[in-house]
Amino acid sequence: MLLSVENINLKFGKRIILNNVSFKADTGKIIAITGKSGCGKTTLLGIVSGLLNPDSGKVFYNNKNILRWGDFRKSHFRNKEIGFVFQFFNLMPDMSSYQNIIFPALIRLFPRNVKKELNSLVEYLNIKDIINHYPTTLSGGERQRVAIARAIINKPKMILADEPTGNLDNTTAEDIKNLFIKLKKEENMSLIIVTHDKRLVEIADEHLHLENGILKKQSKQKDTKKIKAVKTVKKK
Amino acid sequence: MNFIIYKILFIAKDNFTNIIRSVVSSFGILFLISFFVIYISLRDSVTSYVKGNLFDNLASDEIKILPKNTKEIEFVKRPGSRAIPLSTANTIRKMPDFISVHGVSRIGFTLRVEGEMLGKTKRMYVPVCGVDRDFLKTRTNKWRSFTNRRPVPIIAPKFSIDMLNNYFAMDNIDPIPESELIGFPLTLTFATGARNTEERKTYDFEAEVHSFTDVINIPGVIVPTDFLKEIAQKYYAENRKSAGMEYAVLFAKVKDVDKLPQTVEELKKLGLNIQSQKDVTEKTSKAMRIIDSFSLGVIAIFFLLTSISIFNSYLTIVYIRSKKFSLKRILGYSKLRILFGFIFESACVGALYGLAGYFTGNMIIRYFSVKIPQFLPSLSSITIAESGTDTLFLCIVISSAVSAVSALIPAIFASNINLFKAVRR
Repeated sequence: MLLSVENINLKFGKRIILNNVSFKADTGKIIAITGKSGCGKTTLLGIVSGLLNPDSGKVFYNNKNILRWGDFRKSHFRNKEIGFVFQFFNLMPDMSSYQNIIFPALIRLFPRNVKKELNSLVEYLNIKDIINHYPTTLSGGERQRVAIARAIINKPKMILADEPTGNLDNTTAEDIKNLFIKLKKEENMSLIIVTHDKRLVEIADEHLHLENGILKKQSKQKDTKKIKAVKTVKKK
Repeated sequence: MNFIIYKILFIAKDNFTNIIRSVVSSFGILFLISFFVIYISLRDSVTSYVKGNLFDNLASDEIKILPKNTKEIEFVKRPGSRAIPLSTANTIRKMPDFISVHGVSRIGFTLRVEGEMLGKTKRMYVPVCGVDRDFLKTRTNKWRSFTNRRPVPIIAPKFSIDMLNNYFAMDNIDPIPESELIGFPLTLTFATGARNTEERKTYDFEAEVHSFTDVINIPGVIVPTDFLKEIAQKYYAENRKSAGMEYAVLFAKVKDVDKLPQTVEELKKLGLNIQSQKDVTEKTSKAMRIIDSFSLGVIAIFFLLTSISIFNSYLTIVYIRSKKFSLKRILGYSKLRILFGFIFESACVGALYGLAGYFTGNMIIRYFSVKIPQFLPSLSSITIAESGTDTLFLCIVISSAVSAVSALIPAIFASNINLFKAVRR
């Protein structure tokens, strides 16, 4: 098992954010986490990546509890094992697409040469024409593709995506969805996607719903019925 | 390898950009360091002035013996001025407590110095003092040749070079450097008694410039004591009258420093005023205390204002860059790396201001060292020298430290930023 989250509890003051949350993620699987805004989905991603510490619980990555690690080891873990994709892309505005993509590789003390990976990523994500452009001159879809390239430049085993299509139009969101499927199938990456987007829920191997701090597993059948019902209503 | 070089260049460029962006934040350090440079320079100048005016710095085993009720040395003999008689000086020399006793002697004659250059003769009356050759041992390299000989060697104060060159300038003659004035022939005329009276006696001697000094602070010329004794003896032989030879001050080196208090007591019984290193130190430190307390007060205010302004500026920088810091943390930067990166940046900015402050301070010193004597002629004898490279190093270290320490708390904020909140902003 690549990731195992066990009995996570977190309170902000008196408010319970996460109540005994547990789930597992295996290599090459997509997990979608849904829930109302402010219910604690992003906080859960923060805990999984070692950025936040819960009040109690364990997060095992390759059978090692990351919550017991020091800041330096956690930073190394985030750099090497995890790729982040955000709703608002979060590219460095003063860096070109090229610099943004290779930035995680440069963080290491002795960076390995990622030129090969970069070239194949550029082809893979179709961003050759915009590689020297600055983020402000790019469209939303282009920015998200650059952000995904940055997330996978270090060949992580897991991608944590926080509402990756939340700020994109339908066509671009569809492209990103297809890209995630490609990453799962071709790169055997594990993806944990926090989303409201039904299309991303559709491609997930497992759908988890967070409500009042409790994480519940949703059946795929239920999702499919819901999506069909929505489509029928739209047609009418 | 190329990628490592790329990384180094990338980080250097990133840091350089950040330093340039935050350069205004530490502007206050410029004032702090400039004032610090002025303070150091002023302190050094006043220290050397005080010590110089106390007739050279005394060693721990040295004492200065002055006539009774006299606090300062009177090099020029005036009616009523006090001195140590030759007999008392001889008594002191015979005391077993001392290794050596040297004095600055004076004679009851007037001295006229006459020199000729380019067909023009200049004559002037100047004070004259005598010193022993051994007294010069620790004060000049050319002490060996300072003996009672003909032409008589004379040591002139350094400021006389400027005086002489001012005279030359009035006659459109180029200034003459110190080296060319060494060996310059002069005529010394010692005279006693009023003019056109029977008591009037004059003695002429050929002399030459031996050297110039700014270490021995006598407002006239210095000749060997033996030479003054020779004139006094000659005068006594001819007139059976004393030439008024006496000592303005004596410098004595004690054999045993532990016995110094007893020795001082004995000398006081002879009606003499004694100054030791302790007195010099006390006088110097009194002057220094005034300068220090004022300057340190001003520096403390500058420091406080600068620190607060840097702190605030960096707090703003942390807020502006919070998204960037968070993103870096999320992508793999450790807290320490963010912290040290920020402190390094502020230290670099501080170092730049340290450099700028040093040059600004020296520029101000250069300006005021010219202007002060014009506005306050009484302070013309204080030479305010620019600070040296050791101060430059100190300035860079201090300003870097001030900047880094002031930015420390903002840096801790930066490294502990709420990551998700910041990237969602």
